[in-house]
Amino acid sequence: MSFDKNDKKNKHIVDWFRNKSAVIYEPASMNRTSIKKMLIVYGLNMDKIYVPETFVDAKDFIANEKPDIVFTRDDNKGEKGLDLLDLHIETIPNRLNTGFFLVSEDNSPSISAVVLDTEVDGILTLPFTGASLEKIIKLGLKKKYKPNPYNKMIEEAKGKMVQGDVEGALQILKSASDMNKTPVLSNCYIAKILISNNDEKEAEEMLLENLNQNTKHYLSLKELAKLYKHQSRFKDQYDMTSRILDEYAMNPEKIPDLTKLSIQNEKYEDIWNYAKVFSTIKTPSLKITQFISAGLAICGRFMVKTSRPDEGKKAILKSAKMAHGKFEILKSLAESLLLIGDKEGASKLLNDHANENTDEIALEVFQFEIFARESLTPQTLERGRKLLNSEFKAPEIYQILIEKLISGNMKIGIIEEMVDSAKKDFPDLSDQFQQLLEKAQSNAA
Amino acid sequence: MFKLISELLRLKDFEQVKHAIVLKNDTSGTEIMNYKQITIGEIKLTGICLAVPPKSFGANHNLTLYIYKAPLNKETLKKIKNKNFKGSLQLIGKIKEIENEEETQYIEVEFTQFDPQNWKSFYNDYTHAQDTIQDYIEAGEAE
Repeated sequence: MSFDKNDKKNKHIVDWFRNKSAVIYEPASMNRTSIKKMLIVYGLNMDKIYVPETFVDAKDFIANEKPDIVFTRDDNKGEKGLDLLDLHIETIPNRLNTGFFLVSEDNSPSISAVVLDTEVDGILTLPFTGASLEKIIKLGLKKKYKPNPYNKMIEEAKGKMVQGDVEGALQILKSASDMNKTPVLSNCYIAKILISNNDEKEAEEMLLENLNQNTKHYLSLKELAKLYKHQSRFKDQYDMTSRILDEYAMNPEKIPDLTKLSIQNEKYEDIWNYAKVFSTIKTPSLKITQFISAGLAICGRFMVKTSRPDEGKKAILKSAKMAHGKFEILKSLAESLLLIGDKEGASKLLNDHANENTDEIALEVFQFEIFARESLTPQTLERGRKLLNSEFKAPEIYQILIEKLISGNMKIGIIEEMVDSAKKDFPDLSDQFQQLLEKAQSNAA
Repeated sequence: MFKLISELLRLKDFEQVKHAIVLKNDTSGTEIMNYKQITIGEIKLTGICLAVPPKSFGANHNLTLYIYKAPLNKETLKKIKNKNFKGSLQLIGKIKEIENEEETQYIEVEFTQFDPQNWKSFYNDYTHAQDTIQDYIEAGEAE
């Protein structure tokens, strides 16, 4: 290990770590050990490093013991590291004396966006080397080891914003801006406050002035794109997004939004390009794959609606392969195929691509919904009753059945009987079923 | 004016650096030929930490690792099935440490026979991936 805590040059770093505590939530025990050892090399006391067994334990520890440093997996079987970040910020709003690191299996450059877009200080990507682990701790916290007055004030202001003291934050930020020749960062946070106070024009001017001083300032570009989205200024949002992507990697979570933005701007060539580009990535991470899948789903839907069914179907099938069984994506894809009357395609897609990750009940309900749309009332009733006698009994099945009975102009007595069963099985949703009955009764009257 | 957004996306921003490993326990004679059962943790200067199925190894066992660049194509998978490991980075090592959990065994392997040049190249692939991410972060945080 090359970091030497006895070297005088590193005194300010060791001082920062002294007396601090840490929590490490990482499922692989050897990774945990390495992270622990590295924190000790940096000056943390080994008795102040807590290793929770479960996500809930990690949350409880953060809430109650307020550890200064957190290392957590970004996604551990659905448990999200960013949820721990939100909690950590809530417990320690001023981030100057904290460190928050994600451990991620995604080592593509796009993962950098998580650090730029949040209060995460660094990401340790897997597999890792000791050199990398040392580096992310050194560089991720370098602004905090010996912060200058300007950065101290910004962190203090951000802390106040988290605590709801917007006026207090604004005062500090204005002082920070006054003391700096190019106060791009403090002005960015002032602009955020102005936007929350509905002073959007002044905020926009401030952010544009920031970009005059630094054309590539990431946060200013991002805040402007966000403002334009909020104002439905889709062309300006598109242009600002272009500027961001020209310089920086895209946060993959934005893939679906990007596709929608292109549609809003009638940049249809983007749509064909996305479908091509996304499907050529050789080693996408699971997260990227799912966002690409969602983006392809939007592409596919657009293509089928604009009379390019063959290209649309290609994008849809590609999306289904990358969806990893995620129900929401499969449903959207099936609905796109139903839009062009391809019932067989929709059914095949669901059967071929649902897997152990797919919510079984949601899938069964959706397949029943499609069946009900296409079938006569007696057949729907028969299939629905079978489902209600199985492990797939769900309030949505009752909803579909009752609506079918209503649209099929069945006798009110039959509808009342179904509603009574529904209320009995799902008493918490009685009001919802009662509303359907009242609709049927007013139709009958 | 501006390019199309789709033309500004850089494929390399979404590409990961990944390798797949299969291995043989030379002491017990067992083998793990399904790369999905092996996860790489820490890469050391003369060793590697792996997560493997439970009870795969005992203390001081010897093993041979075959490391491939991911994704594996059908041809490579076929070769592996036929015990042809041509094209892989091959290393021989010994179990240095073991941690046993219910569903996973974590092992630290110390190499006894390996090509330092090839190993350095593999090691550097991953420090480079991390460095690239750090560079992107620093570019975005520049004021």
